[in-house]
Order: sequence, then structure tokens, then C-alpha cells
Amino acid sequence: MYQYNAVDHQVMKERVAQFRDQTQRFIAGELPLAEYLPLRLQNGLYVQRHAPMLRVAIPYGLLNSDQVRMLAHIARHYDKGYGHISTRQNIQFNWPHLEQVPDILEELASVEMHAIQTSGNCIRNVTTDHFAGVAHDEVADPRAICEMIRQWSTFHPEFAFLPRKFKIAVSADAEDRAAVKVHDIGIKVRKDQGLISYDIYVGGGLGRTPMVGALIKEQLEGEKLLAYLEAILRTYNRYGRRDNKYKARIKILVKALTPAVFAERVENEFKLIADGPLSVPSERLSYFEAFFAPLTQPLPEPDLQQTQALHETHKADDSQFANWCLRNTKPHKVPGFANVTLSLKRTDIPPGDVSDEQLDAIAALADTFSKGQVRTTHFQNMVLTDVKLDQLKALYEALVPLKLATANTGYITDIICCPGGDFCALANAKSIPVATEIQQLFEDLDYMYDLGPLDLNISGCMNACGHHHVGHIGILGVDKKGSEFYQLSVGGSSRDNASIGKILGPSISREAIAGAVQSVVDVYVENRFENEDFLSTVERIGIQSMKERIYAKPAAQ
Amino acid sequence: MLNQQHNSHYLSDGKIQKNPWALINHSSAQMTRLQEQTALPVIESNEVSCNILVPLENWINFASILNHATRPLVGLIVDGFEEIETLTSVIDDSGLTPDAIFIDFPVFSDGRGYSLAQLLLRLQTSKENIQLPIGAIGDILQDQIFFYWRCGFQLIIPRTDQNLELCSASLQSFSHAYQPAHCQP
Repeated sequence: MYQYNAVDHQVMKERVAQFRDQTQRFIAGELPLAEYLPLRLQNGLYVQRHAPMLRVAIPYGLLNSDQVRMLAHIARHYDKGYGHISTRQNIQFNWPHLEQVPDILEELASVEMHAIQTSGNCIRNVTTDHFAGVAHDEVADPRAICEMIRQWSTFHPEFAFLPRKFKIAVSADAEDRAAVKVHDIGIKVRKDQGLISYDIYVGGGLGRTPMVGALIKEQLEGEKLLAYLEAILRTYNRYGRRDNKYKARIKILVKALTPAVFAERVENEFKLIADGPLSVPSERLSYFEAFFAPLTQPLPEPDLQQTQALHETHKADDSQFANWCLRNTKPHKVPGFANVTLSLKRTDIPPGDVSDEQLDAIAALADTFSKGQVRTTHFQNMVLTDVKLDQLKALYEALVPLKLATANTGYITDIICCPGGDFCALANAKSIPVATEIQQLFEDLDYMYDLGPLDLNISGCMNACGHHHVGHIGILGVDKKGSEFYQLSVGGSSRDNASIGKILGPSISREAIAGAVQSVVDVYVENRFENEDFLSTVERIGIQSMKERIYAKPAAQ
Repeated sequence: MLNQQHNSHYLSDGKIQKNPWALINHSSAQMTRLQEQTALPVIESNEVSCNILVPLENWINFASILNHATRPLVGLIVDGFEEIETLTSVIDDSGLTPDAIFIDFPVFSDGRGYSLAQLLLRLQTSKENIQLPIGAIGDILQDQIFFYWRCGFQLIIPRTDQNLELCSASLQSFSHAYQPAHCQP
């Protein structure tokens, strides 16, 4: 993974000093709140329901074990013993004290971490496929590009005060695990006859006006990527709306101008800067690529056979282990190895929460089994890559007592969920208790697996941190005369076939929402053809029968 | 104490210098606000005792009554959202090329002016007859000075309540930058 050089360390030190000074001036009353606010936001610090919330950046979801230990330490010493993995692959702490935040940032800097631009109207953490570099279906490893984008966007002096927040995602895999089409800029890496280029999508996003991004540039030359991004950002910074924060995202501008006109403006700017200092020569890219060299080399044939045979024996001996392998591991691009999802979605804990003890244990397991590296996912789980097949059993046995072996990855109880009304000041309704109730409904494993892969996403308000629009089933918390209600939608997807879910009808009470989800699932089960997945059934039968089932009941309001 | 009387000073090329600029007496919401934000002296257009800042809407009229033979340095104030074509056509029509262009930041959180500066700086390098410094005026705060400077603002007039020495010191906030820009390319 990328390692800081002397310059990076120096810049982080300077950032901590800068923020310490800003915070001290705020506490001393020398810096008014309105002027401190964007400064603290650009350092990931919100003021929430109970206390400030600090969002720590995990660039493109990649961590080493020392960093994971540091996160455990911060959870233990500055928080209440846990953190929350966010849908931007970052980690959030819900209980730090404002005056201690500079100390936390200083501790983070010691392990090459920070909270820079994890909030505010600036370029946010760039995200990518959590299996980047190890996925069997990728055309290239996107992480070198992500690191280049991270550096280019860090403290970019021109783009610190954009009309609104700005999110970039990169994907190089077939199914699009980075959800690039619902980002302000989505970069799809392609490879044609050995040559890398980029398809650029712009204007996707969730929030109150969900949209799927438009393709505005095909096969952008590799070395022109940063110049093209700068041209997009400059166009957005100049023309994005600033009169209404709800219409300030780039998607509104792209829609207003039409993607074609927007693309033309970007192109005009791009032409002028394409050959300038932002152009990335291949040596520069190679410099970054060297940090992401494969952790795993192909096994010699006899070793491979032995490893695979042992793994098969382990599975034959233990059906629960075999089931966990089936649900929570993915093939590695190198035969004989696997990539493992650690589910943070067991019933009774808020989705995405991870304790200090678990973090410490995960760090140790990463050192033992996965070359000291850990990933976070935008599905709010964690991942250990590069695990040798014959080691999976030992890893599994270590994960079970840690309660990190729930075999539900990709199924209905693997819920994406924002912190909601329990923590977030913006939320209209609670989301965590709803997630728990739904998880309880589908706790029977055979039943859950029979439903097939199913994305269920919950947001506590229309800011859509829980990505409800792109859940196969989506739940949005709304406030109805002071009571918590929930809007239910179906048919969304964040994958390559990205789409926005359709709302089924009037919002549903807190008491009735889990039952309504059950009704949606029942209608699917009754109508599906053999092996037909949820989205295909919804597409085929439409939403009418689901509507009738839900609103025929007294649940309707 | 520069803080008390700092409207008499500003940042020029990153250094604290005596501020030679005054605002033209022109009745508009923008100029009233700028007067409050900068506390610069306000002078009549027929006075030429110091350098004078004139808003775009007043530029042609101002050029027409100015004695070009004895004129002081003149600075053009433009909004962050202004189009380059508008600017150049006003300048052409007036027959008066400004000695500096100041981009107005009505609130510090409106970042359009940073991008406009890039377009203006590019214009300077491509058009031989325009070679002038870019300035920042308005709600200019200590914590953004570093960004202005990196974006190529040579002249910076901080808001009147800002501590100019701290503003100047903030140029040292970072020893290295991650992207090419006008300063620290």
C-alpha cells in the first residue's frame, strides 16, 4: 500500500498544527462559529446529537494492521469503545471531545492517517472496489489511480469551497463494486488491446434527487486523467448552483445543461490544460503502481494442489465452515487464495459498528493471515485479502468467537444503514432499530439464503447516507408530524446496472415497516421463477402486487 | 499593531505592504459591503491622489471621465461569477486597461473566484497586452489566505478585522503542495 514519504509526514504534521490553532481560536472565542464550521468540517468533524462526530479517512478503504490498532486505541481512549464504518469506506467515532480532536489527529498522523476532507463542500475520500488488486474480474488495479487522485485533491486550493460536497469513485471490475454511476464523478477503468483508458461518468448521486451518472467521456487517455478531473471541477465550481444547497450538487448542473452541453464545456477547458503540468507521464503512474504490488505470488503446482485438497477436507468436515466459505469468501485472482469478508452485520449491533477489541483482533488476524492488510467496504463490512485456502479454517475459527463470522455477505441481513436518529443530528427517523427488527425477521439462515443475494439499504433522512435509493429494497426515514415514518422502495441497484428504486406508496409507521418488508419479500417468493433474482422479478412483475399486499393491510397511513 | 490600522496595509506578493488602494465612491450594495469589509478610504472618481478600485459596472463611465495622462493606478473589481468575455469586452470598450483585477469574494465560502483567477491568469499568459496582478477583496479571512496565494492572487486585502501578521504567517502553513498551482507549481 502507499507509504508516506518525508514530505507527506511533514504535511500531516503541519495540518495537525493548523487545525489545533483553528480549534484553539474557536474555543477562545477568536474565531466565530460560522468561520470555524467549514474548517472543522474539512477535518471530518461534525457536531451531532450527543457530541462531535469525527470521520477519519480510509483512502479507498485500505488499511494496514498498525492503522487498525490505532483505530482501536482511539475507540478505546477517546470514544466509547467502538467505531462505525461508513458507506464511503471511512470510520466514524461518535463520542470524541472537541478539545481532544487535535490530539486524535496527531495520533492518526503517526500511522499515516488523517481526517482531511471527509466532510465539507470539497472533494471527499475517493473510493473504489474493496477487492481492488485481488479481484478475479478486474482489468487493472485501480488503487494507484486512487492514490494519485487523493494526492491531487488534498488541499486543492481552487476546490476547497465548491458549491457542495464532491465524491469520486473508481472501478475496474465487471460488476462495479464501487457504485461509480451514483457518484459525482465515476471513473470506469477499461483495457482495450492492452491499453488502459477511462470512461468518465458525471452527475450521478443519491440524496434528495437521486440520479444515475451520464457518460461524458469515453476512453480518456490514461495520462490525461487529472487534467480532465480538474476541467470537470473547474466547470462545476464556476457554474454549479450556490443559491440553494439542495440544488447545488453537480448532478443538478449536468441535468440543467444536459450532459452533452456540460461535456462540451468541460472539453473546452480540458483542451487548454490537457498538456499542462497535470499530465501524468507513465513513469509517474508507475511510481504509484509500485506501492500496490501483489501481496501474493502464484503457488507452485504441488503446493496449490495440497492447499486446495486440505481446504476441501476442512469443508467436508465442517458444514458451518463450508457455508461460511460459500457466503463470505470470494476467489482471489491467484489460485489457492481467497478474499474474506468479515461481516459487521450480526443482529443486535448497529450495522457497520466495530469494537476496539474486534479491531485489535482483526489487526492480529491480518498479520497472521493476510499480509498485514485490511479493507473496509462501502457495504460497511471489513475484508481480509490474500488468505491461503488451507488457512481459512483457522481464520474462521478465530472469527467465530469475535462474532465476525456471520455468514450473510450480500444477503438481506447484510444491511447498509446510516447511524440515523440515534446519533445523527440530520436524521428524521431512527434507522438502527429498524435494521435490527428486519435482521430478526430473516434470522433463519435457510430462509435467508433461499431469497438469494438481496441489498437492503436504510437511510434515516433524504441525505441518503444509507444509500436507500440503490437498495434492491430501500427504506427512507421521514418525519411525519413529529412521528417516525418510513418510505419503502424496490428495484434500486448500485451495480453496473445502476438504477434508482421505485417508491411503493405512502410512508409506513415504525411498527409496520418490518412487516411491509416481509410482504415485499413474500410477493417476490410467490412470483419468482426458479433461480430468478429479486431485481429480475421486480422488473418482470412491476410493483403493483407489492403495493397491494402492503397497503391492503392496516399498516397504511 | 497592524491589526488596528491594517486597512492601511495589505499583502502584496505575500508580504505586508502599505496598501495604496482606495474604493471609488460608487453607490451600490457591493461597494457598501466592500467598504464595510475592507474599511478602505472612499474617494471620488476625479481625485487621483491614490490608486483606485472601480467595479465593473462603473468601469466604462469611469474611463470616460478619467484624465488618462495623469491617471493613478486603476484596479477593476469583478464578481467571482463573471465571464471572461464580458470582462474583456468591457475593457476593450472602455479603452482603459486596468493595472490589476481584484476578484470580489462577498462571502468566504463562495469559491467561484478561485476558478475565475485561473482563467484570468491564463489570459495573461496568452494575451500580451494584459499583464496584471490578480487581487482578492471582500470576505478574505486568515484561514483561506494560503489558498488565495496558491491560486495566484498576488494582492490580498484581508477583511478589516483580520490580523495581518497572522494572515502573512499563514502563507507558511504548508511546506509542500500536492498539486501544481500558480504558487508552488
